[in-house]
Amino acid sequence: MKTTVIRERPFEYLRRRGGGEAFPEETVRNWYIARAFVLDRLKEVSIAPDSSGCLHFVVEGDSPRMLSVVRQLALSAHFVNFSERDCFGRLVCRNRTLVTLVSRMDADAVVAELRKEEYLCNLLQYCKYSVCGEVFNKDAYLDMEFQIVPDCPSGCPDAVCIKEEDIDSFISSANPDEVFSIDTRKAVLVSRVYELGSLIDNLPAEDIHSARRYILALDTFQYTLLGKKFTPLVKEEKWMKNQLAVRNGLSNIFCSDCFDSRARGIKRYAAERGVAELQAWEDSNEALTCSEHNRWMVEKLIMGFRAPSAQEWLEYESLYARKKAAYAKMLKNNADDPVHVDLCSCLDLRRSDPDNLKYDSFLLLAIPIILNKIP
Amino acid sequence: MSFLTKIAKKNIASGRLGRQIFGSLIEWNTASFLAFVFLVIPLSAGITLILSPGNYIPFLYLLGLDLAVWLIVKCCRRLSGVFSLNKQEAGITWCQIAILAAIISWLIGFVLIFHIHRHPAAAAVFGVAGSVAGWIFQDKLKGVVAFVHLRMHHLLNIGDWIQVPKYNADGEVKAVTLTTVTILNWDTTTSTIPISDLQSDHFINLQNMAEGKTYGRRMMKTFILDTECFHPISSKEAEALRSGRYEAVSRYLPAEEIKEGALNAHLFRIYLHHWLMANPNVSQKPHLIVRWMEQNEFGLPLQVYAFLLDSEFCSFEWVQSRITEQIVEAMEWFGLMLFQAPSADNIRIIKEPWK
Repeated sequence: MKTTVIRERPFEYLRRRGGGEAFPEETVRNWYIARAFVLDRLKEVSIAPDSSGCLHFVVEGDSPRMLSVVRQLALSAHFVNFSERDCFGRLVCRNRTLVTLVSRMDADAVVAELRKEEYLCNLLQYCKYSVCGEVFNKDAYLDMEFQIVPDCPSGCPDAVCIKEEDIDSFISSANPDEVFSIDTRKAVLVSRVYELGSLIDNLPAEDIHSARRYILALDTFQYTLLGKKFTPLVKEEKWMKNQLAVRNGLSNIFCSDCFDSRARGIKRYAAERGVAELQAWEDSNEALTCSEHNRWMVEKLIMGFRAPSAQEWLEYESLYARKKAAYAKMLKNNADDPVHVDLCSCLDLRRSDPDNLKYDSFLLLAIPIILNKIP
Repeated sequence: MSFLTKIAKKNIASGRLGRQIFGSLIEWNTASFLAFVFLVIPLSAGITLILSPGNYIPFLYLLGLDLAVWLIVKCCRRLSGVFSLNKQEAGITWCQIAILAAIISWLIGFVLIFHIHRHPAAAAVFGVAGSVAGWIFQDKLKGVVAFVHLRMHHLLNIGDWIQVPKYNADGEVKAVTLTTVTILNWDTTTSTIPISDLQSDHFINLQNMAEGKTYGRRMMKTFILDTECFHPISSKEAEALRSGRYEAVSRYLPAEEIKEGALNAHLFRIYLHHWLMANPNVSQKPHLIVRWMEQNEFGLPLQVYAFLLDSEFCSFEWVQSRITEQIVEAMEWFGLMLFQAPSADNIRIIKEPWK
């Protein structure tokens, strides 16, 4: 079925935290370029849910455009089979995505630049990174790792190298309309699948990672949720006035940006194992759910959220039911310094709020359906 | 995915009953179809051969009746599964009742098609078969009655927190059918209980209480105080209590009660009563009681009988534990002690004078 493409320009509407001023035009432009470029580069990548190793990118240069590329890599390039612990329960954090930033600038200045809201914002506080060999946040639970080095590393044949010239040549060959606006149809479907998570509140009492638990609801409700006419992701007046809607809209876009690379990974897995693709999606539900949670965390940290402090967490833990939900909402809606209580490792989320994983599970099982609708 | 299946599912998910029924009727189910073709049709043919040999008209009627019942059961089972996903209670109840009505209609239709009521021998055989079936399936039949009763009076809903002492089940109701109730226990095990037992024995539905629709959840704790510590307070102790050293005592124990010679246990009980009355987590209704129980060989038990506003499972336990800790802490202010059976350490102290 052919659908009309809806293109929107969401980055223009994003404001600094606390409802502050808009980002400079140049920054917004860099975000669009970085997004289009990175998604194009990721077409070469396919990580199966049982792959191991490392997805390595080397970004040569520290210009604002290259830093935007680093930001976009963090948002879109995730190693599906990231594992926090080994089979003995020891913290290992295997199979990360590694981004090496080559910069001649003073290392502290680069870190300070990356910490700005337009680039990685709060992400560096929580993920593993190294500056000229000195490692910070060694045991971080996130699947991203950054290296800041003065010289281009040698001996990394598998690394995907990104240079300024590559971006220039990409821009010269790309259709500007496709670069500076976003087809939001997939993101619209993502938001509808999230709705399904809130609609279904009596899932069968099965393993939360078992695809069977979600299939009946998804199988039945997909036709009404995904069959509706396409509308813009966010209404025009909301893009202008409601920052929460802008951030949610962007979240759906970032989520849908990863669909193609995941589908390629599943295709590879299905081919290697000799199973049907739909079966492969169901078999890989656990790995994909954790990967989606990691992607979501990186996105939230980049969008300015932070994990609760020890004191906030203690208070949250001592509350129950409605009071707990109200406290979490209060932390989340603090426009100056938003806090999300689900910013914790996948294993911790499994402990603290396992039902929350239903949103990710529905979404991941819906990916083949969405991609079938919008190739 | 066939076009028909797509149309069927779209209608089932539409949220409109008419469309949902239509969707579930046209949805293809191979296993169910094969069961109908290879089980129901031959059985119907066999019954017709026995009851009305050489006449194919009753067979056609019976087949029509079978088809109608099969479609109703198929439709209701499918819709029941969908309604369960988002707890549409009324829908689930009506589906189960429709299944029941279809089965009863089949029985009546069967009697009428083969004119069993006009043939005494056949009627007798049918009656005996009915009695035997009724005896064999008596629990199921009781279950149907219980289902109608419990559901019609909203005594049992999906998502309710219930306790069934007979089966040691304590958890959330996940599914209700004509004959069974499935409970996901708090220990994450699952109990499947005949619904008839919920009517004949007793079960406790804690849902209203857990949702905070009652005064609160009952806390009933008994503290056994060591009576050796009971004594009239001295002027020094009275002064300490009055001095403001213990902020809660100054706030909740009326000053005129604190006088030399007053029994420390009496003061403690009054303090506790006022402190609980003022506690924001404790409801004063329907009862808030702090009382002495029957003296026993361990000491004098003091019982706190109160209702806590936070009635949700974990929240209640947290507040109850906090109150317990504060009561134990306050005992020391009044020179009181909890009784504890002598352990090795206490016994060593007793031995010391003999050295």
